[in-house]
Amino acid sequence: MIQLKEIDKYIESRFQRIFILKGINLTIQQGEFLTLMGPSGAGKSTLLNIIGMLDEDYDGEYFFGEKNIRKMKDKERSNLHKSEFGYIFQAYHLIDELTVYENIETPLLYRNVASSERKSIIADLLDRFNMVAKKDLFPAQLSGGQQQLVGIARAVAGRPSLLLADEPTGNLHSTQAKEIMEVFQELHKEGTTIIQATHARENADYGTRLINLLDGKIESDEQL
Amino acid sequence: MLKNYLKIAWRTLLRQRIFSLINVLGLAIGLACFLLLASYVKFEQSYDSFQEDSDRIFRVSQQVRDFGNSAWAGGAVAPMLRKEFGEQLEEIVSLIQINTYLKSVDGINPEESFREDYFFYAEPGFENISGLKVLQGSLKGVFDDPFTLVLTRSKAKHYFGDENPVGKVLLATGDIAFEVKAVVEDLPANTHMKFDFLSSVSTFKNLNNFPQNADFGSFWWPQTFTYVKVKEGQNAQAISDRIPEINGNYRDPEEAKNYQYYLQPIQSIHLQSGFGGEWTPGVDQKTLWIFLSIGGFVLLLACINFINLATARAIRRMKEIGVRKVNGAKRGQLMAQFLAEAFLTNAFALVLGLILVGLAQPIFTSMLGLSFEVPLFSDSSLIGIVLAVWIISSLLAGVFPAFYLSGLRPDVILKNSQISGGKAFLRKSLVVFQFALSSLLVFCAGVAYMQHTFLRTSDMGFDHQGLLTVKLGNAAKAQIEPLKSSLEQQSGVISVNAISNAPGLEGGWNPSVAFRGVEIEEAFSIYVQYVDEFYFENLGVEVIAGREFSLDFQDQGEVTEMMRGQFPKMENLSVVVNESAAAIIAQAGQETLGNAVRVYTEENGNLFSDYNGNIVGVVEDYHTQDLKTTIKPTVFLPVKNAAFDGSNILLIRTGNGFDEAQITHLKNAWNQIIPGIPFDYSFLDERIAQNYAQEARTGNLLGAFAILTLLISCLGLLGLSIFTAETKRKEIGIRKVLGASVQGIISQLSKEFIYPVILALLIAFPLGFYLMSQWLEQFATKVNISIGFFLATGMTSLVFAWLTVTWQSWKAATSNPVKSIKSE
Repeated sequence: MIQLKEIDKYIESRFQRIFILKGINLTIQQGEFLTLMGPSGAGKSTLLNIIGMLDEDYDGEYFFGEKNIRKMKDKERSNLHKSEFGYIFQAYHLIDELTVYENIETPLLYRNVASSERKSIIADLLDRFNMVAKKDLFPAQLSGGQQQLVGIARAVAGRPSLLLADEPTGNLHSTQAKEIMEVFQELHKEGTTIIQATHARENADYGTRLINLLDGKIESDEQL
Repeated sequence: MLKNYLKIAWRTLLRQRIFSLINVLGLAIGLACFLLLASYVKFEQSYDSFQEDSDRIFRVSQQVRDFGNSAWAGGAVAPMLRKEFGEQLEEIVSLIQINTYLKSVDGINPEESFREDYFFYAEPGFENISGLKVLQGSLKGVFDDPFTLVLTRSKAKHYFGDENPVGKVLLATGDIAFEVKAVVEDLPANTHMKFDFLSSVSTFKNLNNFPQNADFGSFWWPQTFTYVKVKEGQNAQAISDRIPEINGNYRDPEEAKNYQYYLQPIQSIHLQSGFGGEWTPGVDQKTLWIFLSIGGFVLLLACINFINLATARAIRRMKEIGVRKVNGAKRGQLMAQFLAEAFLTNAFALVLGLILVGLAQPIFTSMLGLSFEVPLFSDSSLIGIVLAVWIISSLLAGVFPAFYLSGLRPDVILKNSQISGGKAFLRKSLVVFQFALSSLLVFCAGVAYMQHTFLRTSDMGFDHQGLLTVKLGNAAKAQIEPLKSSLEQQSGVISVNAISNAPGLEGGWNPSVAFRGVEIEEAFSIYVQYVDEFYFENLGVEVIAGREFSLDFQDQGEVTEMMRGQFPKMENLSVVVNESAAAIIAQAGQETLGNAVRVYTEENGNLFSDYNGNIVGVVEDYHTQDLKTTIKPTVFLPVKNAAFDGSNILLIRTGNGFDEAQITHLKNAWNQIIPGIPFDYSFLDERIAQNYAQEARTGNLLGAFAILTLLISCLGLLGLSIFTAETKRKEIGIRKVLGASVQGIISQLSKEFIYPVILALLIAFPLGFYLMSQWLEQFATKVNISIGFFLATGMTSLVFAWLTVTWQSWKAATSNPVKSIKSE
């Protein structure tokens, strides 16, 4: 599904290049649940951003399916981004001015989903994450775990084939974290490909593959 | 989608209430100021455009050599134009203005007389150039037959209440009966042709024993306002250009060169001030421009604030932008969102601004001493401006976030919890611009205010307090001696003089004046007044050489000849001159005292008056006119001389604490001698203060708008300092944890904004000094622009700015550092 070839990412400083990622070769199959681990600064988030097409400033080749991302037109890329990717953040990044319902609705609006269809999608999601009663609350009125659930609901609302999660449980305590990971596992079972970056080893146990990064390089790659 | 945009825009507005309020309020105030000022300027510019075919109507004005423009033309001008341009002109109409006392015989105030200053004798055809609307009666024959009367609705109500006045009679001074033929609608406020009563010129001829069918032959008498309506398709400019050469055929060609008649478009009359004998005071174009530019600047400042604050606020929303992008928002969609928001916020400002206009309009118009409506919904150009402001400021406010922020990479935005200030230079230069402008206004308002105070309080060269002027009519003049001695005996009265011109108000008139052995360069630069004995002593003006008029001398001269049977020639008059006149004589190397003086009027080589005398005294210069004009060389002649009585007013000097009761005493004494004649008095110092009403208004308006611009600038500064404090919350928290004092943080944050304000002052001062020096040029007496003005302006701006910034800095500096550091 995804193939990365010789990905380099560096910062040009005065005297030398500082590599954040160096020579990353990685193939990810459809239906994998991949965990990126490694100490701070190892390049987990950077790699995630590159895979998620949030960062386009790197060297190397990136194939999504058959297509080379770097050779795509802007419009094509933006359509791919919209249809295939869902994002989950450590800090949830919900829009404070929107209610739970409206937050989940946002990606659907940008995908020009018809109003009745939007309603049914959101109703399903609210139901599934047990948030029906909270749909008119604002993010500030929710606990961290609940906010992250909204974040996940929003990420999957557009029915992406690939879910990217950057430290999804980093701000949560263990019971909440467990709950979130169980949701991931469920989504994975339904066929969604998931890539998560995390510090917590126990989170990796929910996945199918674990990659350790160190100083911008892949240190180990094991199937679980 | 749009619904979603508007929803989030509305929630953002509510969430950042103070920010939104500052933003909306600032723009609303700016817009309201602009609309008020613009509609005032439009009102002034709309004068005389309501008459039918007003672009074909002209007034015949004259340019007099060494004197400037005059609004009046002599009686001979209309017949001359009739003869020469009868083919090209549709109407030629003259009006003669008089003032009189009127009383109604069978109206609501029978027997009570009222002074009427706007009473005109008009020629037929006036109805075609003035847009008269007849309410009752008919105009048929009113401008042809003698002793007819047309009056305005408000005057009809005043004299006759709700009764139909047509057919009723008003009595003018001398029991001259006028029969009311018609009532017309009051003319709108925006015309220079202000009148209350109209009669016919044939009435005037009748009263002056002038043959009914003869044309006036003098270019001096009677003084008329003459209007023409040019036929369609005729070139008015060509006609105007030919008048001077034709004029040479009707009067002495040399003399004709000194009096150039021309056609002045009526729409331009109100906008040209400084015409001699103007019907109603005009307005200075420059003042209008000043007002319009102030309005424009206030609006500009408010727009800058709006843009500045909207941009600053947008930076706070970077996270939202990032999230939206990650969720698939296209750049165009984000741009649309920000623009929709800007348009919505702006719409609130517009509505609020319109409400403010409605609220402030009465205050504004009363400050101007005018009554006019702000034509908000009827004037297409004002609506256009409002819409343009809405669109332009919304676009500008939305463009930065729309283009700059929407183009940022989402991972960068989402990663950086610390928001960069961004574009600090631009924002600071806008602060500089705003404060330069508002300080400039504060400075100008200060100077204008002080100038007005200075004019009101400065020494006029005579003691103008405690003086009463009373108008003298023919009845009073006939009894002048008994009146004077009776009034002098009343309690509180110190002295009484009969004179021609009120001191400090009227300079006198300008006949030809000659001194023996002196070449006078400017033809009519010397003023002539008529005064009686002890006038200067009573006025408090010192006699520096010789003496003033006295009963002990034969000052009145004698009539030696009646020229052409009716015009007197006088010899041996005593003459007093002021210092300025004496200086002209001294400059020519002549002795002042004893020098021969000749005062005469001449038309077509014929003398109409010829007074000869010798100088017996010189008095020190004092302001015969207001302080705006320089002291003119003036010649004083005895008020009651061998040929005529030149008195127009009684000048009564009263002691301190003069009150209503004592006025009643004076009134009674007056009416004992001349019953039925109104005691028409006014206080001289009040009338002098009236002279400066225009300056007072300008000063007040400038002051009000200076405060408003300062307020708007401070709103902008407040917004920016809130923003800075917000973006530096984390930094402040860290500094506090590391041991920084509250004071230290306040001064660090405040400094950032105080320096731009100081820079603004450095820009505003020279500009203000230059502008106000120019403005003060028009006054003969003017304040010094001293260092105090600069200090006061500087202090005002700095204190306002400092308070604004410190308030926010203090809040930021005293907040709990733990909170600001913890928050992600």
